[in-house]
Amino acid sequence: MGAYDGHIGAREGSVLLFTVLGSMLFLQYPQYLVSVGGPAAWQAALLVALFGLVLALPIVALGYRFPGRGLAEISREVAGSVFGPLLTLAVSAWIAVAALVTLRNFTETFVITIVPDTPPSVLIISGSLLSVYAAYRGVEAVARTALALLPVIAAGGLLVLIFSLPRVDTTLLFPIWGFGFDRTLMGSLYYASTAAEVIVLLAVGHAFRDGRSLQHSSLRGILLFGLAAAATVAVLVGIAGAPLARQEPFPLYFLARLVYLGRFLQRTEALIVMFWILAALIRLSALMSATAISLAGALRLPDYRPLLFPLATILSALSLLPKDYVAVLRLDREWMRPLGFAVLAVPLLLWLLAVVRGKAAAPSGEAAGHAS
Amino acid sequence: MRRRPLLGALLLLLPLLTGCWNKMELEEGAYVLAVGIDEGKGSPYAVTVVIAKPSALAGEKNGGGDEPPVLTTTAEAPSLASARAVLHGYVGRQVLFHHTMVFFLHEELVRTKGLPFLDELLRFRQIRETAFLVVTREPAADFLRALKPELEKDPVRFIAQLTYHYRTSGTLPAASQIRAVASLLNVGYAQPVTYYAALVDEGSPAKKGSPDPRVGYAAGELPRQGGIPVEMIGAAAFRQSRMVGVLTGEETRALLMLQNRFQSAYAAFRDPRQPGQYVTLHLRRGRPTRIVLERLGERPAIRAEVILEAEVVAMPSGVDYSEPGAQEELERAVAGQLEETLQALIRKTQEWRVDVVGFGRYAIARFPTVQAWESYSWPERYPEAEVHTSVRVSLRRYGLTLSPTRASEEGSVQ
Repeated sequence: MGAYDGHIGAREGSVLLFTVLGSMLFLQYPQYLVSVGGPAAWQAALLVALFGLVLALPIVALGYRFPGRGLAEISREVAGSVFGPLLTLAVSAWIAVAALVTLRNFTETFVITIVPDTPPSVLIISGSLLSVYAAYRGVEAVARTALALLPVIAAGGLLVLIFSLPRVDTTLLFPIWGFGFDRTLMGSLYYASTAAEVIVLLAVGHAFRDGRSLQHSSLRGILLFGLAAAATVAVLVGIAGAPLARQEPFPLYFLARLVYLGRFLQRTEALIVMFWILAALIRLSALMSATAISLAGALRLPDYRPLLFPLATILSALSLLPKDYVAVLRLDREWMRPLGFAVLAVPLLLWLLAVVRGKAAAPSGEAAGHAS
Repeated sequence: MRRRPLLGALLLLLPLLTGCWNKMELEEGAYVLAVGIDEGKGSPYAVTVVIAKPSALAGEKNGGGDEPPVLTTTAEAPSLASARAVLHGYVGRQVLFHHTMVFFLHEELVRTKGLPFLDELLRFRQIRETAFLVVTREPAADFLRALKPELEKDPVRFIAQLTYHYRTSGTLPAASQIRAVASLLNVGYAQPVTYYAALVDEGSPAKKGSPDPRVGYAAGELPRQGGIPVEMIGAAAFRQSRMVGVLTGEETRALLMLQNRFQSAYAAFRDPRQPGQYVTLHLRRGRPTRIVLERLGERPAIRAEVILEAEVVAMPSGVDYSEPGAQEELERAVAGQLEETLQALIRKTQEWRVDVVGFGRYAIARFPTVQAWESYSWPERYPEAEVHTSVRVSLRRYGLTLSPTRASEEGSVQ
């Protein structure tokens, strides 16, 4: 089995990106949206998705220009053998920190909500081992797993939302413009980099046969995420009200705890935890794969897999560094999201350089050997 | 190659093992069914817990016998979670709040100090936001000790069944869950109400309640003898987090009608042609209550129209209200009496400065932004609001007989 064997179709790609982004809906992401839009948080969700789509366009353009190539190869070809790898390293560092934050964030979430007596290190090690195993099997395996598990994960989230509907008080979604459309717009712009994880698709760009697959994967994934986020925050605000929803870091868990259909259906949070675990693992595996593949490409290593275990060990150790849960949230909100813009600027820069320098993959060329 | 799937399967099992640190056998837990919160003497709170005795709750066949089904005990502590430490000094099992369904709060505490423990109810992971809040006129500890239902073994199940009466009698609020109260405390368009309960001392002097349907009874005022010394009827109204007053059962029914949450109830009304006699009707919601905000400004104006359907259940006066003219007269009389209750409710809540109906819901949609809504300050406008109510009652049926029975005619005053 070659390190870069396997391909991702448009369907698998869009589901992979949707799972990577959508898993954040189990965490504090809806809280960000409510803090931006208040009762109009659903508008913020749609705006963030819209901005995300715009920010993803350079990735799509690069996909068309360099079909079947990953970030590492494109940047080396377009930006040269020194500047190119540096850009790739910067991006892979951001993805690595995103993986680190994900690892700790989910760990803290599990400890706070369901397993208060489990040492965080046990959860971190379990998550890391599983993601290393999945990443070792290749990006295609991760994407196909995401596609196979989508019905389970989506049904889990959807059922919680549907069963919560009887409790929704639509008055809580008013005033219709929240804190004002201008403030929602500006706030959404700040969180537009929430979709920055779309860079993962470019990092594993070698797995896409053509630009069209990458385009569909990126845009559909973000669009689905926007719709899911809008529905989630609308139900959350409709039940808790904006002031309370703003303080709710585990929105779907909160909603699942409220599901109470007589004596027949209650305590559904035990079920949603399973979906959390699956979504978290797919996100982590995708981020881990993208980090290792980019690193290997930047360092011109023939195979990314030997990097996985050391990378997971380092990330696991580093994920214990933030002193508490609030520090993790701050790291994500105050550093990761703003730096997400810088990460999304890399494909834009590469595309501009490619246009200026007239660089593109050979029309008849098969996807070049990776990191070779 | 065969080892890889095996390795994958083993790794997939790994997350399931992370729960092992939290394992607890059922026999190790003392499951709290209900909690009472009173003001403490040495600590901020006196926390009374009602702990289930599973074998006794299961009944005689399973070995329960005459053993009390629950253990009720009080511990003083600054919070619920810290009360566990006190309880663990003399309760062998681990005290757990995962199954707590009701929180009883002493009226005096919530009138003077509000709901400072609400933060813990929302934050502490063992507590579910679907648990009910019940304000008790007497100390919650006394209430819980007196809670020994006769038709049920489980006292909390008894309370849960009482709550269902909001559908059949309409004398309890539609929602009194922690989540519902907390979300209304944080928005400006309505104030919360909770269940209200009281202990009854049959030897006490005259009760305050009135048989007049316009006034009705609150908990602790029901005209009755026998049964357990516990009543839950009416509602406790809150302004911000402090309790400000009690609504009677009739007023609570009017509240449900205005909130469009009334389902059905048997209710007696003064007979329009025979003063001193009553006509009993089975009321149902006819159409959804229509509330129109006619004007904002300094004095907002609201119009509410309640539409009900009714079936005659008892007409002891012997007057034949099935005659066309008489039917309309009875409909108007019932509507008029209901309207008086609606107006009494509105006057009361305006005096208390609490919009428990939630008329603000119809105002908030008129404001484009949160800032504009907050600067309008609905809670301050509501007491000045002009609220016009109208009730339409349509008599649809007359029970199993149409004209007055002979016994009624004989008993009627001609």
